[in-house]
Amino acid sequence: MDWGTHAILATKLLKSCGLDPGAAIYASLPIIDRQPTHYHGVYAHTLDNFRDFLDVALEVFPSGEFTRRDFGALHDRKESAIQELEAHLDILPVSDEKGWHLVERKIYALRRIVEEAPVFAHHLETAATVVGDPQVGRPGTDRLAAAVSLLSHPYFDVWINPIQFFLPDCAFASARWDFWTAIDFMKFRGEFYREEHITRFRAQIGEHPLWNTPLEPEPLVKSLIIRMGDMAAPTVPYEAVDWGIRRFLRYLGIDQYQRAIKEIEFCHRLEEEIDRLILQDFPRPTFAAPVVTRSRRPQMDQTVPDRGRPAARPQPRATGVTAHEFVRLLMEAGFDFFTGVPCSLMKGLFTLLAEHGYVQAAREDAAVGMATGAYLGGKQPVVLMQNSGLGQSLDALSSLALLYRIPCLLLIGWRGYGGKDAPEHLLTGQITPTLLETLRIPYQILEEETIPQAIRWAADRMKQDRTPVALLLRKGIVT
Amino acid sequence: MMREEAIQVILERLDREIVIAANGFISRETMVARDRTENFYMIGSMGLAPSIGLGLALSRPERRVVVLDGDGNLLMNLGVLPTASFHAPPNFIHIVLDNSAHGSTGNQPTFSAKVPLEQMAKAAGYRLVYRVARREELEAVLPLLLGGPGPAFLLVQLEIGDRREEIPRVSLHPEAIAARLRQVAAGSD
Repeated sequence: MDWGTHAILATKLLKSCGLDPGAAIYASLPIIDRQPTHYHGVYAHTLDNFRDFLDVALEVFPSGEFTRRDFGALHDRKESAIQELEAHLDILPVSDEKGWHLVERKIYALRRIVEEAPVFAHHLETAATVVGDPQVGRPGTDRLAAAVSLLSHPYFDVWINPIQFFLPDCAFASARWDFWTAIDFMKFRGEFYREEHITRFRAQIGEHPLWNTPLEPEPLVKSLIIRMGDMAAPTVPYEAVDWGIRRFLRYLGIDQYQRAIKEIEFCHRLEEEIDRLILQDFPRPTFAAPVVTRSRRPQMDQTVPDRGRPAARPQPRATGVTAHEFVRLLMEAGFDFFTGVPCSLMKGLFTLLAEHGYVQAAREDAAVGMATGAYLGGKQPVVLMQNSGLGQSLDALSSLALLYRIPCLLLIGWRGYGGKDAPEHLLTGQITPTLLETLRIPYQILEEETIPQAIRWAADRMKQDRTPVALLLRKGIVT
Repeated sequence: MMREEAIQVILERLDREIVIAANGFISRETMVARDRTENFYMIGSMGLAPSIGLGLALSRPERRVVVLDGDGNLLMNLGVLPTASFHAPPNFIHIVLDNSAHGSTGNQPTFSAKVPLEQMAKAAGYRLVYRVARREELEAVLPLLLGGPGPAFLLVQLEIGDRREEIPRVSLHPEAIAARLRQVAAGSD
C-alpha cells in the first residue's frame, strides 16, 4: 500500500486496540532503503529487523531534535551513538560472531533511520493530513503501540507484494496469492493507486464498522505474525512463525501466553473486506474461467405439473457442494484412505464413503492411530470427525501423528460454530481453532467458494511439512 | 516367563512381518531383542498400537502385521477389539503381553488379573483366540497364529518384572522409525 493508506490503516488498528494513534508514524519505517528495490524487500519488511527499527525509532521520532526538524543535531547525536557502539565492538572478542552481528545491525539501522529523518518528517505531516487527526502528527513513545503500527506495514503490503517476512529463518514469501488469481491483477497493479481508486478504497475501508471490534494489542501482535505465516507460499514452517512470535513478544517484554483467537478472527474478516473492496473495482475479465465451484444438483424435472396440484415452488439455490463433489475433490487430491467417527454435519460424506472402503473407528483417537498405520502402509489418509473428537484425540495427535510427523487430513465438523448449537457443543465450538493452534496443526476453515483450493492446500501442506493438517467444516458446506 | 523372554521367543519366529510394539518396556525390550526395519516402536499414544496395526493391515493386505500389545495398553482402547473383528483383516495378529500390571510405571495392578482379556477378544469375534502361559506353549502356538487367517488374538500370561537391570530407551528418532517402516511397508507392491 502507499503511505497514505498505510497511515490510515495503522491509525485504525491502533485505535481498535485503544492505543495512541501518534504511533502511526512507526508504520512508515519499512519505507527506508528504497534502493536497490530487492534489498528494500529483504531488509525493511523482515520481522527479525523490527526490534532494531523500534529501538532506534523510539529514540529518534519523539526526540526534541526531530520535533524541531533539527536534522543536523540528530546527525551529531547519531554519530556519537555509533561511536559508542563501535567502542563496544572493540571490546567484543572476534569469536563472538553473534554479538558482532547484533551490534552491526543496530549501527546500520541507526544510520539509515537518521539519514532518512527528513523523509519521515514529511511522512508524519502527510499522515496527519490524510488521517485528519492532529494526534497522528505527534509521535508516540509507547513501544507496544509502535510495534503494532510497524507490523501493520508488512501485513497490509501483502495485497501488493510478496513479503519475505520470516527471513532469515525462512525465505518463502507471504502474499494474497489466491486473491490475486481472483482479480484482474494487471489492472489492479496498474491502477490501484490512481486518485479515483485509492481515495475510494481509503474512504470505504476507513469507515468500516469492523474497526469498532475491541482488540487487545498483545494478541494482535501475535495474530499479525501468525497471519503472515499463514499467507506464505509454499509454506513457512510452524517453528519459524513460533520463533518469530516468541522473540518479538519477549522483546516487547511480554512473557505470558497470548490467546489471539478474537484477533485472528478479526484479521480474517478484515482481509475478506479488503479483498471484497478491491475485487469490486478490479473484477477478473469475463472471459476468464470461473474459479468458484458450486454444487451440481440434478436439474428438477421440468414437466408440466399435474392439474390440481400446485406447481413446485422454485427451489432455493443450493449452497455448499454435494458429498459426491467433495469426495471427488478429495480423491483428485490423492486421498485414498478414509477413517473416522461420524458427524451429523457430514452425513452425506459417510454414506458415500462407505462405498469407498471407509474404515469406521470406535473413537477418534483410534482413528488417528489407523490413519497413522495407513500412512505407514503408503496411503494418504483422511480422518473424519466431529470437533468433540478433537479433544478425544489430543494425545494421539501430540504423541503420535505430530511426533512421528504423519501427514494426514483431519476433516472436522465444527459443531457450536458462532455460539448457535446445543449446549454440549458451545465451549468445544468456541475453542476448536484454539485447540488446533495450540497443537500447532495448520488448519483452514472451509468456505464454499474455495473448497477445491482448500483441499489442495491441505494435501500440499501436509506432505511438504509432514504434519497433520485440518479443515474445519461448518454446517451447510457439504450437502 | 517374563516379558523379555516372551518378546524374544516371538521375534525369533518372525520373518517379514511388520511389528507394532506398544509403548513402555514392550517397545524398549523389542528394540533390544531384535531391531528390524519392520519394527515400529510406539513411544507415546498409549493404547493405539492395535489401531496403527489395523490401519496398516487394511492398507497392505499382502503383509502380515503383528501387534505387541500390553494389558494396560489394551484396557485403554478396548474399542479396538470390535473394530478389528468388524473390519476383519486376515493379516492382523494381535498379541497381548499380559503381566496384569502397568510395568513401566512401577507395576501397579491392572484389571486383567481378574478379567480374562482373551474372552473379550473372543466375544468381539476374532477368528483365532489363544491363551498361553509357558514358553513351550508359546512356541507351539506361534505357527498357528502366524499361519491362520486373522484377525488372530494371543494372550501371553507373564510374571511381573524385568530380567534386565537397565532397559535402554528407544534410541531411534520417531521420524526415522516412521520413515524406515514406510519404506519397506509401502514399497512392497
